[in-house]
Amino acid sequence: MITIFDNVIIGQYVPRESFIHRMDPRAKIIAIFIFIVFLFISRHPVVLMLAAILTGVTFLLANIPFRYYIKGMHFIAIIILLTFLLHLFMTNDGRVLLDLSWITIYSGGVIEGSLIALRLFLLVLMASLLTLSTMPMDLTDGLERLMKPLAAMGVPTHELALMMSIALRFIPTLLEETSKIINAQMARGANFSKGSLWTRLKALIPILVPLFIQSFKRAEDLATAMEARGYNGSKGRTKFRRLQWKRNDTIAIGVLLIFALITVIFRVYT
Amino acid sequence: MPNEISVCNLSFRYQDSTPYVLKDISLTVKKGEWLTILGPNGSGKSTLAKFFNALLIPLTGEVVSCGKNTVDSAEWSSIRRDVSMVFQNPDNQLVAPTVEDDVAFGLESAGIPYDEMHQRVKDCIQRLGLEGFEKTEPHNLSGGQKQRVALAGALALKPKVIVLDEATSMLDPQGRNEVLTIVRKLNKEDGVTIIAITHDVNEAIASDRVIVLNDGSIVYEGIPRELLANREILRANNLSSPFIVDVARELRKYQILIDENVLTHEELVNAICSYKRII
Repeated sequence: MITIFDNVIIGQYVPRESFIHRMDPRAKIIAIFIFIVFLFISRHPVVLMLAAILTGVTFLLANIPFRYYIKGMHFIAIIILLTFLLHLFMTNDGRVLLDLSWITIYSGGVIEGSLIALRLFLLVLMASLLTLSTMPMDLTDGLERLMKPLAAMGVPTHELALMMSIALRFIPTLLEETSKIINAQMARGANFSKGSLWTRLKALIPILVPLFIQSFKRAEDLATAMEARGYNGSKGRTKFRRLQWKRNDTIAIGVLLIFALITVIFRVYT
Repeated sequence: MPNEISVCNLSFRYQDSTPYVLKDISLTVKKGEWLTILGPNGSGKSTLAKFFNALLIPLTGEVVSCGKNTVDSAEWSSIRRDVSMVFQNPDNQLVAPTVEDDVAFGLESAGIPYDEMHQRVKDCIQRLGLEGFEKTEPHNLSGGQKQRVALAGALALKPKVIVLDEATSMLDPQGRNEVLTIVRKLNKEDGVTIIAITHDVNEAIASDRVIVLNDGSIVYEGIPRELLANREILRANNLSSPFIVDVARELRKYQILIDENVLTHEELVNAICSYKRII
């Protein structure tokens, strides 16, 4: 049981020495943000083709085998398929392709459905690229730096980042604990796989209650330990990790900005 | 030798309605010594430990740590840099997702500049024999390794005193030895003052001085050898005498006269061997 969770911190991260892996997490987050926003601005085929090329190039640069992407995509694939079908059946544009008594499929539906499906596919691929090529710690770091300007508005950016990193630290510990509690309750005769849904839900209570109590105890211990180590909030704090913005990051953002510009041009002039 | 920590007439209770956990405690810790505070569960020893680095502040009495009175809230961060602490549960005191981030945590709080921080983290990781584990996540470490990481994090702040609050009680014998060996090294080579809080009599053997705490009061103060030979005090305070001492005592019953001072494994072996020769 525990072995399944062994690499939670690493998450889906696939270590490689690639252009994309070496990028600053901030640059990656910004780039993906630009890509996702502008992907939905224009529906011109040229723009979509550009987006596909962009995704393809990034995919090749990241040097991560396709099977890693598929792993996390089962659920998303269903959503993409559903969206495709919805558009297929709900659009009433263009030529009639198929006319059954209960449903009519128009050519517009096929086009619309495919466009949406392709966009979603590109989006998911790019988003997976981010988590596959960046360690969660670096992502947290990148997000914290990017949110820095919000700190002036009173958003607790440092605390949010600390929460994320503590969560990363404790998820495996809590999973381990959960499996221990499950074993302990099973040793006392608990049964989690028999009976009605309601019975099985009720069987979870003896797992959740000790888990919660333990977690609060942990939280208290951790707070004491942090205080003992002089934790004082973000004031006067220096950082162990330093992010380095390199020329490649600027280039990547530049490419994405050009893509954004082209989509806007297509949107305005066609 | 100057006093690193002095506690004067400290009494404490958590709430006005509850009984006192600490009753009129006065003690001093000398620079460079290894002091063991022994006591059964509920004797108040962990509470006492929290006063040394201003995690708890006295209402009656006074605690002065490294020349700073813990009542003064402006000194708290500097006191906590001088007096580091390692806690009991190895899982509940590591904050960061990787070993090196965790060792750096206290340094980040202290505002140590980037280059120096990296140097210190590297040094401490090496010092505690954790090379190669820099990027490891804490849950993939053994208990002893986790406590060593905690110790590295404490050491990184270059403390004058390290307080071990039952730091080895949840470890297996091997993990315990790992930690104690390093603590001994820090005490002897670096001159770090050690205060070890424990209920395990065996841990007191290596220390310079023992204080026994029971029900919130100091009931004994002396050198470990004398305490361990004193069965009455041990029994009165629910402390079990070390295995080696018991063995020696049993041997004495059979007219095999072994010196009363035998405390360690090695000493016992030597005593038995030299006894043979006398015969």
